[in-house]
Amino acid sequence: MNHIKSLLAVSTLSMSALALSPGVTGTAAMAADPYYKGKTVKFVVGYRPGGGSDLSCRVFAKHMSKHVAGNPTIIVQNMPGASGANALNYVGEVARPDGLTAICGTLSILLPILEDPALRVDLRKFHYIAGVADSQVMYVRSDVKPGIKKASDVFNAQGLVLGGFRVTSAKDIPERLLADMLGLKYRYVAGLRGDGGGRAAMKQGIINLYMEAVASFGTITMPTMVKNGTVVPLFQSGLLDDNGNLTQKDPALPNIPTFHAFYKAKFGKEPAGQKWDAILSVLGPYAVSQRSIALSPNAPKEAVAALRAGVPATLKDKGFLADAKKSMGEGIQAFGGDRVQKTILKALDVKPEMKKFFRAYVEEGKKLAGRK
Amino acid sequence: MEAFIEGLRLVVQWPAIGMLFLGVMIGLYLGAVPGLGGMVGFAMLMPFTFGMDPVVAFALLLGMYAVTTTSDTLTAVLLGVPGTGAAAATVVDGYPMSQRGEAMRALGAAYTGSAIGGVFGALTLALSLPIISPLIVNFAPPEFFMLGVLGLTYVGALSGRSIAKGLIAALFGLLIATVGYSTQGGIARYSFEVNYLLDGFAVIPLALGLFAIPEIVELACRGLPIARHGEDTPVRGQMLQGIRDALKHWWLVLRSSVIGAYIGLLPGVGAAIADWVAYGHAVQSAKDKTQFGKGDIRGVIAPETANNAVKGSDLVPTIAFGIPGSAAMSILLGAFLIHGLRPGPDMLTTKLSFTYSMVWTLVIANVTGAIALMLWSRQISKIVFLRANLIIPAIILFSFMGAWMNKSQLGDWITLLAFGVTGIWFKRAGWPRPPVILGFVLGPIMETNLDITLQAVGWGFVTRPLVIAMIVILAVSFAFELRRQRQMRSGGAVPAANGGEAKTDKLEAAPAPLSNMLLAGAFIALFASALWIARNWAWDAAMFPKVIGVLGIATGALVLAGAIRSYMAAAPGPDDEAMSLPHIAQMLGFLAAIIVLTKLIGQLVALPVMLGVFLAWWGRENWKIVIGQVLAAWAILYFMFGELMKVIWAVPVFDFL
Repeated sequence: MNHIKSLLAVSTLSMSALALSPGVTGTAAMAADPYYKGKTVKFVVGYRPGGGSDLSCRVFAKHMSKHVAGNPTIIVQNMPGASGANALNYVGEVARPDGLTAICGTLSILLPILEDPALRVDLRKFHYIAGVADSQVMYVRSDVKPGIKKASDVFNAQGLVLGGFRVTSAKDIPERLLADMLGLKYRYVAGLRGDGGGRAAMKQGIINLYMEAVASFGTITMPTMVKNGTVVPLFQSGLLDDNGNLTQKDPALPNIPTFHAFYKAKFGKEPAGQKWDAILSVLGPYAVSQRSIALSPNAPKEAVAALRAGVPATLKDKGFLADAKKSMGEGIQAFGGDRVQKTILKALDVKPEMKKFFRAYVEEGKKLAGRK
Repeated sequence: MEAFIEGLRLVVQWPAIGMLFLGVMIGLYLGAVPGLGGMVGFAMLMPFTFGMDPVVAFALLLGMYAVTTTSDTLTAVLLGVPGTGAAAATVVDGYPMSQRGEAMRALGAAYTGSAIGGVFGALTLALSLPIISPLIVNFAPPEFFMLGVLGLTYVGALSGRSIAKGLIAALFGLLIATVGYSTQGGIARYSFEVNYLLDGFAVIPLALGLFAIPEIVELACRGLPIARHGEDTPVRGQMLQGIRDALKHWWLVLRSSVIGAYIGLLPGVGAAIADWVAYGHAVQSAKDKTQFGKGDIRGVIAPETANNAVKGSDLVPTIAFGIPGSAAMSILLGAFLIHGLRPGPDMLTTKLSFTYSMVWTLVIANVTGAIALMLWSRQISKIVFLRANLIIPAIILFSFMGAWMNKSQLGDWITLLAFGVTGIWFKRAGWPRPPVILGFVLGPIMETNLDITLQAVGWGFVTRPLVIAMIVILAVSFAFELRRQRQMRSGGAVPAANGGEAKTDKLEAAPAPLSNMLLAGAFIALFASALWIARNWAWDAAMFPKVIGVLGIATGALVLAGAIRSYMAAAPGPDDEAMSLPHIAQMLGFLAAIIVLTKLIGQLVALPVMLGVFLAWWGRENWKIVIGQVLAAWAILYFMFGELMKVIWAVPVFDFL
């Protein structure tokens, strides 16, 4: 129930924010036709169809139209490549200034932090419309020596092999950081092809320690590997509480402790330090908006306002909630544009020493992912 | 058993059965249009299925998915343009059959093979779900790497006369597969800071470039219909003959089904590989190999059977473990979740009748899809007898848009044209093109899995039982190949089937000795620069490029020496005026102009206008035909790609909208 409450809270919050901002729902907008009447909005997804980003964007596209004034047609287009940078560049650089092109999907927050040259646009200039939070679950194979029966057995584990995608990816870096915080001794294997490849490697025992998003963990890994005892979940990375700490459990996983609690139980203190700050700088914004919808930087004000105004009602829509539950798991947490905008701006305000830390950490990863 | 029958009952109910047939129609269409296919279909149809009952939704989705590899034969055989990545191997023998006027026979055999293969794949789905676990567990990255190595041995079968040239072609394919992020993502290789290259190339623009562009240029230069010798070949009865051909080669059909089904079970190795493996197997196992590449019906049957058999078994790892074997399967997994279905044991217990409903959907779709095509193909296949000018605009349109569906960037077209030039060069020099695609599709499988193996298991992987078994198979097939080569050289040549030169031989222009020599030289330069660029890379990124580079230079030197000798010895042959270099360059320049004009005014205007220019200026057609074709092209672009496919158009410099 927790998530419903937070959803409602967010919705009311953004609605009142919208009511206060001038020229949104006021008389001016009433007089003329709504901005989006008879128009088609494109949600450009920077990944191939079928993944988490694509699914959530399609659910939004399907249900958002009826809550935006003027009821625009909303379509989803896929423009995969360069960790999502191709689509971001496209929306940021070449989309027309008509407010009909939005980016949708996982926002690779590490692209700007690592100053990846593939990304040519400033993510701070986008107009954020909505965001869906997600968190991660780490799990271990139960046959790791000397045998893992409960989560805390991982501290005695021998021969852990951690699986990842790419040394620079926004999955691998927090994954390694979390394992490091726990003091786990592991070998790091990079190069797995997506979560499908990761689950296959876990099943084969090629790797034995892995982290994936709560949504796919709950819907796929739970029934196929947790139920039959192949793997044991360790912790979930956690969602934000009121103080901005990652102490909230995802409603879909009430029985898996947060990393915060897991760490505290072992070491008797709260997680802190540079590595924890680094984790927060990636997973923190993701706990508000891993998947974002944002209009191009050149979109007109009235377009931004009109789309944002449609979000609260969408998030309460029964059909939306039902589809979201099926595709993204039990009880999603979604937020309105103001909250997401603030979060992203804050997340991208990264101190130089933190950037330096990330770069060094990537280099360390390259060395770790060596030949056996 | 009860669940099996319950599954059938679920599917034949209204509205499921209606949706199934609708899906089949859509799938046939998507397969036939180059560049579209199962993946696009899933992405397009999924939103419509949100509100449906799961059985109905999957009748639609799988009905569509099952038959895209049946209808992709159509353009592969008729136009030499693979309809999906899975039909690239079909072009090799299917297109020469069209040129000979035997398109209908090739299609008849392909549809029959597709239907049987598809049903076999569906049965694999039904039977192997309970027993799949050991296969998935034991077939880990080390075994995948070995599978790739085994696949590479088909280079010999795909090379035609010169294995050395085939080897270089395969190494070239492997090299272009290394473009983009290395497996561990440490560096983007050979990307030259171009975003388009960060994720490397995709098979569709590559295959369209290598096969379709040379065909477009040759059709335009020669101005002859595709069926160049077909006037005297009776069309009547060909379809039936093709069906009989497939049934006559039942043993090959069965083996290809097994190959396809097996490859489908392995996650990460899709239909685009199954067709080559089946093709290679057909060549390797044939007694008389002389007609392969020139229109051997077995070269059509094998890949077309295998790529449909993949479809059913592909679902197994997805359903059983949530491990999608291909891009299309990841979308299907998404569709599963949206409908509240969870992969895993549920699918075999509480949802068993649903699982069987999917099996039945695949069976019914495969059979009806093949029959529908058999009934319609007669009309469609007449295009091979049309004047070249009338079909070239369509081939250009679909090849370009097919490539565009990859990333929707001009880079897709530049890739298409660059590999088009490569393909023309290969053709002139008499080099085999199929090994390029083979190397390209096997490259990532070999490299990724070897990299992961070395990180996780180390070189000790060679002692794994399945790996040892595969090494033995490798050694045995090498020994056989060596013996065959010796036999061929010692004059005990393999007897030709119809006791003489096939008609198609005259079509193939004799290899130009100069092009041959220059191509060998160009490859040495290419492999050398690849080596040079890779000199400072980390081991994981450099391993493959370095091995490829060294092997490439060595083989290249060998071929170059031979090429120089034959250039010196060659008497100046009769000039092929139609295919003269300036003539080819003009046509390529015209295709390049399409890209430039699209950059300026967008393809919605540029493509139809340029096709009109082609018809009026090159073809000297009358204005009625020009205007008719321009309008048709525009309508296809606007309605089919724009409205239906929601394609992302190029954003032009001069934006009128």
